[in-house]
Parts: sequence; C-alpha cells; structure tokens
Amino acid sequence: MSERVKFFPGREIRSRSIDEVLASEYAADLKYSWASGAAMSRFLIELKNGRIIARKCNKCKRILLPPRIFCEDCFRETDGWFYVKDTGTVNTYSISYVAADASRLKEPLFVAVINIEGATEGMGFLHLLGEVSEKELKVGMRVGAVWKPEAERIGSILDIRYFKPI
Amino acid sequence: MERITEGDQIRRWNDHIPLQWKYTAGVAGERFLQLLKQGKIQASVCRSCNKTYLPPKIFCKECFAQLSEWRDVPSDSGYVYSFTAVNGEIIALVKFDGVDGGLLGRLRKGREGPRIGIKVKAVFRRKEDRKGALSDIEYFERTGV
Amino acid sequence: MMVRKVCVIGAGLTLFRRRMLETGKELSFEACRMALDSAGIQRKEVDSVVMGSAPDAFDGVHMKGEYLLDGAGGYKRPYSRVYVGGATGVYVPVSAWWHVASGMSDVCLAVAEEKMSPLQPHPQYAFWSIFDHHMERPLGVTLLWIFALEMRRYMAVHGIKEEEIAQVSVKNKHNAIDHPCAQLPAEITVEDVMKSEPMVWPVKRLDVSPPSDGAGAVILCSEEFAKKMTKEPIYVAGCGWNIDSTYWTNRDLYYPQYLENAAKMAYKQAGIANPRKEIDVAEVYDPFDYKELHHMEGLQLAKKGEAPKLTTAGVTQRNGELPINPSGGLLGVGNPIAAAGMMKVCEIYFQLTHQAGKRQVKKEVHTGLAQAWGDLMQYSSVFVMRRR
Repeated sequence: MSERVKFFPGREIRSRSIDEVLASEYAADLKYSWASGAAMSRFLIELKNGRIIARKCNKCKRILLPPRIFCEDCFRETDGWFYVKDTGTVNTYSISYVAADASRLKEPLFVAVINIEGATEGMGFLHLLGEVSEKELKVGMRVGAVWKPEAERIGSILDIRYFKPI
Repeated sequence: MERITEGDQIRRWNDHIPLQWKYTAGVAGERFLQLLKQGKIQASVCRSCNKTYLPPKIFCKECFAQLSEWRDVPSDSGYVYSFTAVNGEIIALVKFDGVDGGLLGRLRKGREGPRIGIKVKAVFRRKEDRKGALSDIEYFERTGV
Repeated sequence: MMVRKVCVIGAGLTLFRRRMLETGKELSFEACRMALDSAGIQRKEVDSVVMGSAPDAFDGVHMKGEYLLDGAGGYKRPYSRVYVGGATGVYVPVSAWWHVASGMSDVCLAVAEEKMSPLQPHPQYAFWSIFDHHMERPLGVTLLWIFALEMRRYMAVHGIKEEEIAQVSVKNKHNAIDHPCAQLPAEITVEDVMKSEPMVWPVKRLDVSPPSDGAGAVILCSEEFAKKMTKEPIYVAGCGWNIDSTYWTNRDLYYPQYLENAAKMAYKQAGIANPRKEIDVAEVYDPFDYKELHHMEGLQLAKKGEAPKLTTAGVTQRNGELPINPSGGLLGVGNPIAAAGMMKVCEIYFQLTHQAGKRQVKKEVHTGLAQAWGDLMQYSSVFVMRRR
C-alpha cells in the first residue's frame, strides 16, 4: 500500500480460541402467524382442492402466478381468477446437498423453478422435483405435479409433493 | 377484488424462526469483564474531552479519538441514579463519582427503602463464582448513612 | 440536475475475518477512524453520517442502526442507517452523495459494518427467513438454492461451462494475496474449484465467498472542501440504483436487467457513452464466481454471455485491458455483507489515488466503478468515481 495506508485494524479470533474469550450466548425462538392475504388464501384453498389458481390483469393481459391482488407493472388491482394447469417446464434447477443451517443433507434435494402452463410465459414458482434421476435433469424438461391424496392436503404448497417428468 | 366474507376463506401460516447467537465482548468489553472477574471496575478515559466511559469504550464518542488510558473506579464510589422494582427486586442504574455512564445492577434491600442519590458500593461474588460477566457484581448495597 | 460536485477524500477498512474480537461498534469505529485519518479531518468536521448494515439477525441486535451509532461517528449528527441487503455497501456512499450533492452537508461520513459471526451454528441460517413464508419456506429453501438456480439458468441460456465460471474464483483468490485485509487469499486452480465439495449444484464450496466480520468507510465532501484537503480529489461521477420484482420466480434469471437500469442511470450522470471503453477498472459484486460474470454483463462491460470469454482471454486480470476485482473481491477478501460492498468502493478509491500498492492495476486509471447486489437477488447499486 502507499505510505498513507500503513495499517489495517482488527483482532481476529480463530475458531479454536473462541472459548478463550468471554463470549456470551443467547437464543430466541420467534413464533409467527402470518396472514395469507386475499390472493394467497384462495391459492392455498385451491391447492387443497388439487388445482392451481392465478390472477389475471386485463391491462397487460398477463396471467400472474403466484397470484396477487395487484399487478406490479400496471400498478392496478388485478381483474379475476384464472385456473392454470398443474404441468409446466423446468426454467432452471439445482441439486441441494445442504440444509438451511448449512449442514449436509442425507439425500440431495432436486430444486426447480417451474414455469406453469396456462400462466404467462415465465410465470412460475419454486418447487421440488421427484421420480427423476440426476442425469435426466434438464432445463426445459416438461413436468407435472404429484399431489398428495386429498385427505392429506391442508392448503399448503406442500399439497404438491413434487413435480415429476411427463 | 371481491371481499372475503367467509372466515374459512381466510388462511394463515404458522411457523417459527429459531436463532442462536454467540457474542464476543469486544476489545473494550473483554478487558472490562476480565477486570470484573478480578473484582475491579475500570473505565476508559478521554483527557481532551474530560470524559470517563463506563462501560469502557475504545473510542471517545465526542472527539472520536482512540482511547488507551483506563482508570480504576472505586467500587464504593457509586450512587443510585435511578431505580425501579422488577419482580420484587430493585434494579438500579448506578453511577460513579466523576464517571460518565454507569452500570445496571440489583440493589440489596436495606432497612430503609431505596432512594435516588444514596451512596452504594458494588459487592462482588466470591472469586470462584465469577464468570467475567456483569453479574460478577452480585448486588449494590448502601454505604454509610 | 442542480447538484453540487461531490468528492471522496478518504477511506478506511478493517481486516475481514471469520470472527473478530471487536464488536460491531468497535469495527465501525476502526474503519471510520482510519477514513478520517486518511482524509486528514476530525469528526467535528463531519456534518452527517450514513451507516449501512445488513440483516439484524446476524448481530442478533434489532435496530442495528442505533446500536452501531456511537462507533459509526453518528453521535449528535444527522444520522441514518440504510439497508438494501447485499447492495447496502455501495448504496451507503450513494446515500452520502445526496447529502453533499444537495448542499445539506459539506462532509458526510459513509460507513458499512457487518458482524456475521454471532449467529450460530452458521450465518447462512438467517437467510432462510427472507423467503416467502407461503410459497418457499415450507419447501426447506436455503439462500444457496436461489444462487444455484440463477447460475444454472445463466449457464443454460449461454452454454457456459462450470470450468469457465471457476476461473473467476481462481483469479480473485489470487488477487487477494496482495490485500492486507483478505480472509481467503489462495493460489488455486480451476480443477480445485471443480473438485470442491458440492453445496447446491452447480455451486461448489470454492464458488462461494466466506461469511466474515468487518467494516469499511469513506469520506464524501463538497468539491470546495476537497480542494482544501488535497490536490487530487476523486470525484463521484455517477450513482445508480434499481430493483426488480420480489416475485423472483417470474423473472428471467439469466440476465440482471435491474443492474442494466442502475448502470445506465449512473453512466448518464457520468456522461459515459461506452462503458466498456470508458471504465478503466471495476469492482463488481462477486459473492459467487458466476456473479462477477453476470454483473459484468449487466454493467454493459461485456455483451450477454461474453463475460466468460473475456475472463478466459485474461482481459479481467490486474494487468488486463479491463481489470475486474483487483482487490480480490468477496471471494478472496471476504464477504461481511454491507462492508464487502464498501471494501469495493475503498478499492476503487485506492486504485484512483495510486494507494493500492501491489494491487495497483497496470494500466493508467481515470474512471473506476464499484457495484453491489442484494435484497432477494433483485437490487443493484452502482458508484462511479473519476480522477480529473
């Protein structure tokens, strides 16, 4: 560095020496009950019925999924409900070997953004892929929803177990 | 958008966010707590601003100088700046003569009730029970009359 | 636009490490003190302070802005904390620029801090709660998924190989060897990256920057004030920022359109018509190696899909035609979220003032750019600086 910058401050604690300093520990378990809102409530109820529902905007003509009560582009209220198919194409995918806390998973998860048929091109959501081998995974592959049996559905994104190739 | 009128058409999602933290005490905090463990209270000093920081800081919040000078704060030089009752215990903000800032702690109940301004001293836990934490001061108690 | 000219006259940076003894306040103080010293001014000359720090969950301190205040030099000053996720570090000097450009302040201290180490067992965990609780959290989403999905989409659209992307990690970790603050400098090969442990394919261990503790700061001031302090002030030439939809699964992830928008906003202000020719050195946000390429394209420093080819050709090396991340980037220096973006701003300042020592790029530099990216991979902030 030039003469004006001679020293960069900071004292590192290496992982093996964390117990040598006076660190204090705290834990919190924050509980929430999130309102689903008007659009998502209906979406979840329809999942329970085994169907996927979107909202349409009559101004830009888009079929919006996930459904919302406003069009973020036209910035107006959306105009109505629209059932879309439970099939789609894989927009992109990845293979997760780690859990949310960065620990290793026993079995990797296949994760994908799926463009849903019937919605406007590029409208999709995140879900899991199943009944497929790592080698078969492809961007652009056609997939369909594998639903839980009706009795097990509760109105959750997990009412769809995963999507599988069709 | 049509209004939702039926209660069963409204959904919610319940979940929780469990989080854990491990905090370092910092450069000033580490030294302050190590001293507490030895039964000593020290504050950091900015001579040019005539400030004495307790809990100690490595910087003067006024002139923003790096502070390296520390001085002893006699543990019997405290006074009750303010207090409140929490679950039957008296919690006091204790300040010390000639020191900016102060320490929070339990105030031991005496024969007379607590009052703002009374002189107090810090009573430390037994040496083997100290952990290098603010709780190494078991309580403050009134000195003299 | 009726705005005053704004200059940068000092910079400060702490070490970046996995865990530091300093508290967030102390890290902020060290960076600010160094920036003030390098500018040759005292806190009493600072009219306002902008602080940037990312999610409160890392520190486990809510309202981090007020918590960090004293160490950030904001005591009894017009003070605010800004937060736009990972883009915060470059958004902080943008916000500071308003204060000076508007005439409200002559001198504004811009500081960014992050202390990620308190969160247990891993800072990664805090990111889980940024996702939609109805659509995404029930699936067990992690932040790495969204990066891996974007990387895969980018690769698929342009036919890019993992090996091409790995070159970025090799370059940046190598560059970091010359950075005195660096956490993960290393001589590695493309093969090392390819063989490193898969996390969320195509993302592997060595494609990713580490979590860190650290802080950085710069001093912004009016042209008049700068001329009193230095013969060679560095000017803020342009600022830009832009955000895309939070419905991230509705975006085409192969290209950061919002960054193009932010860059064009900054280039317009800076009078830059051909960024590829007019930007001499750039610090682009590289929390993952593919992001450097993605961002070069969004910044119009490469055509869509062209950034890997420029990297292979050596164009982005320190001695290349367009040096990218001469500091070593987040991949090499470390990624204390908000502070990482500020490190990039500091690096461009060091480069333009010839204070970068061994990291000084070979070519003569007049115009440099720092960029960061964040929120739910939808936000970009751009800061262009120029030496007259």
